[in-house]
Amino acid sequence: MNDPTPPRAATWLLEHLVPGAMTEALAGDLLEDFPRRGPAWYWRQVLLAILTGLFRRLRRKWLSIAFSFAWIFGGGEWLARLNMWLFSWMPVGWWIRLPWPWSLAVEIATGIVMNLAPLTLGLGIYLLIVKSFSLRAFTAGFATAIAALAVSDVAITFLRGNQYRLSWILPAVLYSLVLLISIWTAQRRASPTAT
Amino acid sequence: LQSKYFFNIFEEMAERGYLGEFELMVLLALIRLDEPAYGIPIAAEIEKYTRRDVLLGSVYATLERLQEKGLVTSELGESTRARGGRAKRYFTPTRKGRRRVAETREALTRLWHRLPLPKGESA
Repeated sequence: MNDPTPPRAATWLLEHLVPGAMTEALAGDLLEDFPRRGPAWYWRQVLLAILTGLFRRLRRKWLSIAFSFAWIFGGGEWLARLNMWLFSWMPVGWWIRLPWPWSLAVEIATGIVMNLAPLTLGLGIYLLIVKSFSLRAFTAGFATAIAALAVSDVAITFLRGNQYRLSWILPAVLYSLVLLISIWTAQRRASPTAT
Repeated sequence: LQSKYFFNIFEEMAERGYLGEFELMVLLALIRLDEPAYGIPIAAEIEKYTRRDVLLGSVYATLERLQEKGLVTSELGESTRARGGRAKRYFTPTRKGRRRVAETREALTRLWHRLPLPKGESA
């Protein structure tokens, strides 16, 4: 006879990693059928439910994912030129002479300001393309972009400060993710019921 | 079967939003059960007739999609100790859902009708 208690780790994974409104009903069904089926069946059901949920989520969000990466990777050079034009007046590197932590704070703040323009432009264009542009949605996405940029710039500064050799790929991936998170936040604000 | 006719049927199916294979199975299982049903009986009904293992996660993902399309409705039921206090969710096919099943059946029957039978099989 099977152990009547299902694997706790599997239940935790199910409750935390399976998206959607049906998770509670699914978890109840799996618990109900567990004594008859056993732990191997339970694990299989949980792991495949997680994978199914992940693919469903990716399928629903493929446009925003493709746009974010295409915007940063495809338009990188063009966006760098835009930045150079926008911030040509700004002297660069003067903050190194400031005492720590001000030098670090100004460097991160400058990074945020300089990267915000291309990301904001990308956010606005995407919202217009999918017809969910509103001031409320755009503001939510913009605020998220600032917060996410701060986190990614701290990570990049930390890695550079510790003599890690960074190729252009890591910052580009991070900025793509920042844009993606901003888009998702904006869309959730535009239609709160969207998953 | 002329390829032109074959593709016309698929184009027609896409336009009318016919059901996918598993969506059709889930809806048919619900109609066969003839009463509001939750995940386990629906999965059991599909397993009984297809003789293949069914994932409850896929059943619920499909039911969620069918509900978004207005083809089924759901309501919360009782919660038991065996379910760790989690409520059951009972599903019922809507009139639109039943109509969509009938339309899909007609389209598939038309497709089968024009197909030559494999060797050794009689009509």
